[in-house]
Amino acid sequence: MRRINWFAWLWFTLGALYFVLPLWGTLIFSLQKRRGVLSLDAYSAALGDPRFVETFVFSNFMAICTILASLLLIVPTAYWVHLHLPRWRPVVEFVSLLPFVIPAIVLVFGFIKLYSKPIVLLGIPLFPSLTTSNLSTNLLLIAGYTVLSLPYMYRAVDNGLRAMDVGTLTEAAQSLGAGWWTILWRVILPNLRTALLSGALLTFAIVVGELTIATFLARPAFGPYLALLGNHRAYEPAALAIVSFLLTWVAMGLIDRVTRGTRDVVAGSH
Amino acid sequence: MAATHTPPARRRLTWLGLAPFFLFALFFIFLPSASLFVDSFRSPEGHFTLEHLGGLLQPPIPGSYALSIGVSAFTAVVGGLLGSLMAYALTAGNLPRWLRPLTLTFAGVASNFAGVPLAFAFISTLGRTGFVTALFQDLLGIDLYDAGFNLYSFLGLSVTYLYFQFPLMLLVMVPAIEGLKRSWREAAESLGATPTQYWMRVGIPILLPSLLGTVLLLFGNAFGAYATAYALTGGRLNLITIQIGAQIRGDVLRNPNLGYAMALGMVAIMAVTLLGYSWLQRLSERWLKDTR
Amino acid sequence: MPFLQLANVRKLYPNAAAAAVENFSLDVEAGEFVSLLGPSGCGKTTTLRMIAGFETLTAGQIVMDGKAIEEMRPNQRNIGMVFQSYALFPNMTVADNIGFGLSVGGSAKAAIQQRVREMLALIKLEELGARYPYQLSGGQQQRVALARALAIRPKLLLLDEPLSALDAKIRVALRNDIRAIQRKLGITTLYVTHDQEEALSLSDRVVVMNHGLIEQVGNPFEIYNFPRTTYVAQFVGTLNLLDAVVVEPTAGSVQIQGQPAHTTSLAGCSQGEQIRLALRPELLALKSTGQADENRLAGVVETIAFLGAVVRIQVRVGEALLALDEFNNPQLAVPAVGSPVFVYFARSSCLKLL
Repeated sequence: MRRINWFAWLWFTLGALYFVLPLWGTLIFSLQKRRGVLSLDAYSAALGDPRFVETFVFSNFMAICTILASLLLIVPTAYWVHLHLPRWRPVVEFVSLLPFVIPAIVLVFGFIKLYSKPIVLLGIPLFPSLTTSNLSTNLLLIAGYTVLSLPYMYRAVDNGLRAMDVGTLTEAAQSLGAGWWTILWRVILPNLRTALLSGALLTFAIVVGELTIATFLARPAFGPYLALLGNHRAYEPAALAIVSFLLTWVAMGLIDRVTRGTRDVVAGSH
Repeated sequence: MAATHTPPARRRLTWLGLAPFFLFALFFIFLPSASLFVDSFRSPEGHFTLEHLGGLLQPPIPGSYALSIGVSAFTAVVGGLLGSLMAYALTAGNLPRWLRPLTLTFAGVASNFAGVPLAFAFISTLGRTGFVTALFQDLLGIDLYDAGFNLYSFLGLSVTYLYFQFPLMLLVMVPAIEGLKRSWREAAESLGATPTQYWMRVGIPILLPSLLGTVLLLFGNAFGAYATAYALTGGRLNLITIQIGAQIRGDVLRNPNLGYAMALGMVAIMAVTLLGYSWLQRLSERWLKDTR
Repeated sequence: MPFLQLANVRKLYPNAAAAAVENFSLDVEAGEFVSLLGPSGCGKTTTLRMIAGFETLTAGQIVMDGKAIEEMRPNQRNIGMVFQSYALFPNMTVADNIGFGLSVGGSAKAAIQQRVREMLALIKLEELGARYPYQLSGGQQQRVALARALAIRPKLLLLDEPLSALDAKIRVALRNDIRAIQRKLGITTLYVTHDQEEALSLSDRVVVMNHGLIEQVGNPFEIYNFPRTTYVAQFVGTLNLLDAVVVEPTAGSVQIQGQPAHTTSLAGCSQGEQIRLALRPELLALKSTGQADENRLAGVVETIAFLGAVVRIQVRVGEALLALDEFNNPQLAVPAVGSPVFVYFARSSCLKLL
């Protein structure tokens, strides 16, 4: 009864080829650093470069800071909206979706314009310039990344909160004598684990290789390093592309594992 | 709600719980965008002017917008078409079952695999010395670059963008097609419709809002992209994002206010795109409201 | 020759241990309203879907109007179908939904419009033709689904639990409408339901199914009053089941919980045999005296429950518990819990089950 659907097979095969060929091509290319034989030379060269280690560690550190900042900002906000201010939900949701409307390049343009000079309000200096010291520029970078992660993180946390009965759980905990901090830490967060983990992993995937904001804030991040490497090397970039792909695969695989297919589809940041 | 248990004096302060979020949004979303917005209407002397917006009509800026819109529209439509066809193949095409989770996981990875590494992957594949370029040369004797192909062109950039566009479409369309109720198909059949009639008059029209909405999403996705294009072409292709990047670096036009106006134009186009998307999304949700 | 004939129909799903439908044979006359009644998983929906063409037969034959249809595609059978989930096309207006069958069949626009108007009048929703399904209530949606199925002038109408998703009140109203429309059009109808009240009130005949097999076929009167098996008796209405011992088969005398009683259905039983008797609650009465040929069991009132129109009294007779219904009225003298009573019932109302 099950006929073979040639039309379906045709489109599937074309799609699968398009998926696989660039990866296969990159893999083969990355193994050809030594003339005539396949070798891992490109990988040892790329991964052994001290600049790689530096930038990769820096970007991972920034990713972790971003995840923490994003969680600290969004979890209490989303919880508060669910519990006390449900009428504000559309507003908060709208704001969390704004980064889709404002591309990263525009965002960083605004950052530079606004924060490269001291901020003066009515003649009173509020902030010094944020782009003059490394620490403050890193903070600005984290803020930018937090903005990029906002739509994903808010969606994840909001879905997680929707899936449980926040009001009843909170009242139950209150009636047992728990304070706000205890409720958030011991009741709400453990129930949000899946949502937080998938939001965090997605943020990680977006931030680690990010180019735009890091470049224009002149940070020693992995994305700009990679772009620079592409200008004067041939095989090492291919090797690092394969490594990035594997990292993305690990992050996505973990999300799939923790959410078991309930994840929303979202656009990445390119 | 628990709010009713809070004493009135404290209830007036509940909005304070949202203060950190809105302060963050104020400083890192609203103020940066607003300062661009304001200054695109301000002359260097501080007066109101439409001169910068008028500057958007000076070459090469209209061309940059056109190219960005072209690449985005092309990859959105082609990605939408290919993604839908593959989603159809996976759901309604009698393919082996184990292919579906594998393909969807792969699509999840591919749709997030973008930026610099993606550009490298395509340089290694379709660049002058790339794997597929060499394959064409060795197997078919065709030199792709002599035949007019160039990775650093409109077509090349589009082929690269499609690598994240097409799986994104797939990820949206597979659940959408699966959401079509079996009884719709059976009702159509029992009323005398052929499978083609079912798809043309019921299946595709029901999917259309989410299909079009996702195409708009893909458009926005490509329109705002900077990293992939920059790493691929090194700024040779005149996309609007590349133009703004050059503007920030202070390379080209040396007129920052024009740069602000370009950014404003981008935001306007993105806003229209997202509005269209959310309208289509609501239409689709309304149709399918109590049918799940 | 019956209009619809199912002969030895069997359905075995791949990898299933037992057949979903087994040896199903049924003749349906033109214009008849037949219900398939049974719990979920009894094979009633599978049978309906085989007639519609959505499932293939493993064995057997289906003949409609003199033609074997089991090899035909669903879109060639000209059978109208109404689904539990309404299955209205959400992208079309009510009028377009109703006209869909004629439109894909290539009818002229004017003819379609005419037919749509007729159908809207039939379901009394004339003014809602331009609405979309999401703007209608569940009951309205199901009316439209019925009109859509009928618009193509099908030879046969199939309804698969059409009322299950609706509220109780709408269910009763729509039930009556379905029956009225079916009578008016005289269309042969097969109706699948798990609700015995629905089946009994709507149908000319009821087919009770269990585990893919037909348990009993009969008109509602027969099914309710003369159930052949314990299964049918329990599925249709409330029933008291009593174990009894045959004392004298020819005289019809038995012993129930040590008390003597008589029944009229002891054909083929032998003395001392353990049998099971069925008694409808509404055929039992609490009285101080009765006629000479009535059965009488002594017991003690255990519980009393007001169910609105009736009062259900449970009486313990030995180890058995008898439920009996009294029609409620303000003058009704309800015995106290724990008081001794006599339960009377006619010899003929005491049925022996297979």
